[in-house]
Amino acid sequence: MFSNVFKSLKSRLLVTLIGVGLLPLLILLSYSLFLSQKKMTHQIVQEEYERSHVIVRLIESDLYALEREVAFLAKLDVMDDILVEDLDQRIVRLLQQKVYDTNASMNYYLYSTKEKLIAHAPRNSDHALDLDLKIFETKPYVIKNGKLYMATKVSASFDRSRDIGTLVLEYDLRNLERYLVKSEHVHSYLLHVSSDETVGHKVQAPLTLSEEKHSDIDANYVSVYEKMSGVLEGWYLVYRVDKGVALGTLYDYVWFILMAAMSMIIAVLVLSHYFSKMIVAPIARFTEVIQEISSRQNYARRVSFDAYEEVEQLSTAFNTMLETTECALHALSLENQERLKRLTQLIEIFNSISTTETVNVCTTLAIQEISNILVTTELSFSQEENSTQEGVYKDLYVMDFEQEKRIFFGRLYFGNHQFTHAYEQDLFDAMTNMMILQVERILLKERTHTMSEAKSSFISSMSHELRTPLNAIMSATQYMLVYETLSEDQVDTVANIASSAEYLLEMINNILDVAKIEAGKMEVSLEPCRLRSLITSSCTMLELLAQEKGLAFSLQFDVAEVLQVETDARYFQQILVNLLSNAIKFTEAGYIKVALYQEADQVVVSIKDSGVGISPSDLKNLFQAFVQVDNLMQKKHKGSGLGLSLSRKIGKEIGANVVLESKGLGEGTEAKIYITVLSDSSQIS
Amino acid sequence: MKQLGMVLLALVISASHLSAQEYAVVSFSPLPSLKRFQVKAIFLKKMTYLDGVHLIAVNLPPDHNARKSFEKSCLQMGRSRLREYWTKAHYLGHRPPLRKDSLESVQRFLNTVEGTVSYLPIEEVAQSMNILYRWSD
Amino acid sequence: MRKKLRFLFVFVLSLFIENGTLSADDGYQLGEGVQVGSLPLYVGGYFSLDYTNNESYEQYRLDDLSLLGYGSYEKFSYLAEVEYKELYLYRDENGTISESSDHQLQIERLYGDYAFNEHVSGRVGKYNTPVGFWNLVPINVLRETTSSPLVTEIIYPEYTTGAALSYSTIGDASFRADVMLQFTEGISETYNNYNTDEHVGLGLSYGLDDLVLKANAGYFNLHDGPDERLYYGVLSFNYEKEDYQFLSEVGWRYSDRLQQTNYAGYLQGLYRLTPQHIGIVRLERYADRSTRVEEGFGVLGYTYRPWYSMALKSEYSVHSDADLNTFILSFSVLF
Repeated sequence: MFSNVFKSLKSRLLVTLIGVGLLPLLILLSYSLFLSQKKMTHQIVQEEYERSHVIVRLIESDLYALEREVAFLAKLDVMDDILVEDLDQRIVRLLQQKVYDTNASMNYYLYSTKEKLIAHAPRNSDHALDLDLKIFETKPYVIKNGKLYMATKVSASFDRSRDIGTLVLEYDLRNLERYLVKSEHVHSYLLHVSSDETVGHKVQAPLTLSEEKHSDIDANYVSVYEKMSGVLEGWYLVYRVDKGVALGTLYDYVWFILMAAMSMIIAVLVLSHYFSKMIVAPIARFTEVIQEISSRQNYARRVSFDAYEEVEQLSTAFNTMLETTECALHALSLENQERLKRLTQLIEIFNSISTTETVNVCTTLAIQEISNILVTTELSFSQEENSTQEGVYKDLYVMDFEQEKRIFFGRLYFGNHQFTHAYEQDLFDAMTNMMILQVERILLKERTHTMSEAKSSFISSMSHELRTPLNAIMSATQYMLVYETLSEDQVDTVANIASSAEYLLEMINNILDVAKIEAGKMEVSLEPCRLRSLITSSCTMLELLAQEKGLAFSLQFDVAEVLQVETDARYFQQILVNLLSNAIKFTEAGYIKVALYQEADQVVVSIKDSGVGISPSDLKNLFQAFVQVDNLMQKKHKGSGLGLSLSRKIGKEIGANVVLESKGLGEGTEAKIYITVLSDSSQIS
Repeated sequence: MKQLGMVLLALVISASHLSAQEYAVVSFSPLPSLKRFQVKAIFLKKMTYLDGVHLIAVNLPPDHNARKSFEKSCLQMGRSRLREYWTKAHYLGHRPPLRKDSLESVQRFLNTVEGTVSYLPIEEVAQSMNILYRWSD
Repeated sequence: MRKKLRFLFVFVLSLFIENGTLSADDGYQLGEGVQVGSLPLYVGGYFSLDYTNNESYEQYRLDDLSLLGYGSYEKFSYLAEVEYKELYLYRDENGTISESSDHQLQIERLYGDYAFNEHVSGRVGKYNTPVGFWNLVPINVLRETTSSPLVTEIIYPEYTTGAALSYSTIGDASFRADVMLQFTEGISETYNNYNTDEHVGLGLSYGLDDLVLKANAGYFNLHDGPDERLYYGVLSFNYEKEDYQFLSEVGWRYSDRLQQTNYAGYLQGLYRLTPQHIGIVRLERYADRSTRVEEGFGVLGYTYRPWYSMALKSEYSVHSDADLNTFILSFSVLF
């Protein structure tokens, strides 16, 4: 969960800002709430203690002064009047004066050594001192029933070794209430721990006085107390302040701190949220712009953020990158164009090289183009293997098809040219290869042409040489058959010779035709001719042959009588006869159907039989020279195998396309001749 | 008590008009008779012991007739001279004699404290008192 | 310093106030001290301000700020006195101004007495040498004139630290004999006129009513000086009546080694116009062999005492050399 949070910069910033903002605040808050509260409480208690301490000191000094006063009075010369039982009332007047001056609730009692009351003051006070004087033999002061008694021995002024009486001061401890406070919130009182005697208004709330400390804070009061010394030994001054009043300032302070802290926490949260958002905002906008740029491929767009120095730097850097990218893309597109241009150039070069007819033209052109591409003038070519020309060079080899191995063709000198890049080398290699290939092609073509010419001239000369004896044979056999009387066996033999010679002549003629065609020596004269009459005459010639084999022969014309095509009528008839004779030859039973119909601007002559048919694999090879389908009929029907091939070749020469179709063996064959109809004769009858 | 004092004072004053008032320096202690010079020495605190007795001189108040007579006849010193004397005595560390405000208290003191020496009009002198010196003005 | 002065002022003031409250009952008067607390102790004190003017200088002085306490217990009694001498001195000597203040607290007197019997008493400590009359109460407020006669200053040591024994008998006349013995260094000797480490003296006095005759003799040895005894002898008399007084002291001092005798003496007459207004005439004569000076001079004085313990004194001394004529004015109080 947190890892997700921390992946976001905004969240991190938020957390950091909150952390940075809140941490000192929390420290301050905890200091304020705990340490400073403790300190303040301590200080308040200390102040209360100081206050009570002052009171303690006041009371103690007051009582000390009283003690001194009593001692002083006891040592006055006038105290000698004890011996005369204060006849002159001097002691009484003195004591009264003292009581009057002190202005407090107190009584002086002066006893003689025989415990006779000599004087007491003020005059209207109770005479009897409700106390045994012997108690003062052990300690100089006694507290009883809320009254403090101090006693001092009186000695004679003329003889200090002589005790003449005891002066006792009875001091109402309530006099000390003038130092004590009794108000709604503050109470101070004196407390004697063991007797629970109290001076002042005691607060009823319980309080345990401890020797170790001097303060106590309970639910209602802040209490401080101090043990008193001297006359009030065993007493405590207890100073209790209503807790709400004593710690009011502290409570106000704590409340204020809490409120301030809450406000500051809210402020920190809001500001952190605001600032993290603000800091991240440019980045978000930046991202949007980048997304826009990448989606629209708009590298011309520029970002502009001046929110912070860093973002500004980033946007500047990004803009620089965009510029670079744009330039790079532009350069790339230029380079692409250049490459395309170069490719086109290359293709053109290849084209021009490939169209060269001679080796010299080829090499010259190639060298020139390579020089152009490599931008060098130092390139040169020599066909001499042992050239003495200096510099870097590359030997070129071509294929010798006769010897079936590569032979030295020539040497390409680079001069001082250096290939700057590998692709330049590749380009150079490709071009030299191209040149080599073209050279090989030219050489091969030249060789093939030479060979073909040789073959054709051989065939035509050979055919010519063969036809002469054959004609002689045929003439002789005709003569013998006609003019000589021969036995039946002889007739059969001579007839056999005559048919074989005839067949041989036919074959020779066919070969000659093929040779002529291949040698390009076939002379064709294309002229408009009526197709129906051509077909009719051919069919008439061969209908008899079909009838001989018992085949149904039909002829159907679906075109007009006047329909004309431009062709060589003699060769067209030869193709037609060839195809018809083939149909009859390879059909043992059934029918031969010849049909003429028009398909678009072409007219089709269809010769369909119900013969042996042709397998699909054989169909592919059927139009090659000297190929005969190997089938059952082969033995029966001898042929040169040149028929179909020759028909197609002749067809091409006269503008007719010959196509053979069969659905398979035993399914019959259909041969079609497509020929373009002359426009002005294309009218369907 | 005060009234009684006034009456006595009136008596003393009236008596002085009639005849010379007689005074006596007295003590309860067994002291010998004294010469005036000795009495003066006692009341100027020049003499604090006599026959082993610690002498305690006791005066009457300054405005008392007996005291006036005493100073005039026995000490033979005026108030300013006495003041001078006791001022110098203070510097030397001596205190003036004790003082009682009434004849009664003087008598009581004489009676109570051994060694007390004081003076009284002769009619106030009790039988048991030891008269050390007498004079009349 | 200021603090101490303030303290003293407050203290003195408080004594006056106490005086007011106590005088009604106890007859306390200024100059009789007060009893302090629970101790057998009476305290008092005194101070003196004086102004001196003659041809060679003009001088203001806060002198003798002193606090004393005393008390007694049975046959014992004691006295202690501490004092700032010349607490502040301003002197203009023909335009040369000098100012000084001595904050050293001196022990002026410190002794205990024991009364062996009615005739014999002993004393141990530092005390005023009981020679003549002047030196018994030598403080300004108790003197008749601000200046002291030369005889009290040059013949014998003013203070003795040691033991003293006295015998007195009073009959028709008074007789008193004093023996003074010092065999140690003195306590706080800075202001003693002679810093002695040995002093043996004898005094005899005979009193008859208003006349007292006194003879003293003895010797002393200077602590810092040569081991040489200085012998002295003083004859004096005091005759005093209510309105007038004659006082005279004549002293000699003889030194073994110097074979010379210095002497000094005076005769003083005093007349009280009233107890407050007092006129004084004093004639003095002295010889100082070491300086070969021998001359006589007169002192005329007038003193006003609103109370005896407070004195405003003026005096004028007339010398044969007019340049030495001196006017002195002083104010002093004992409390």
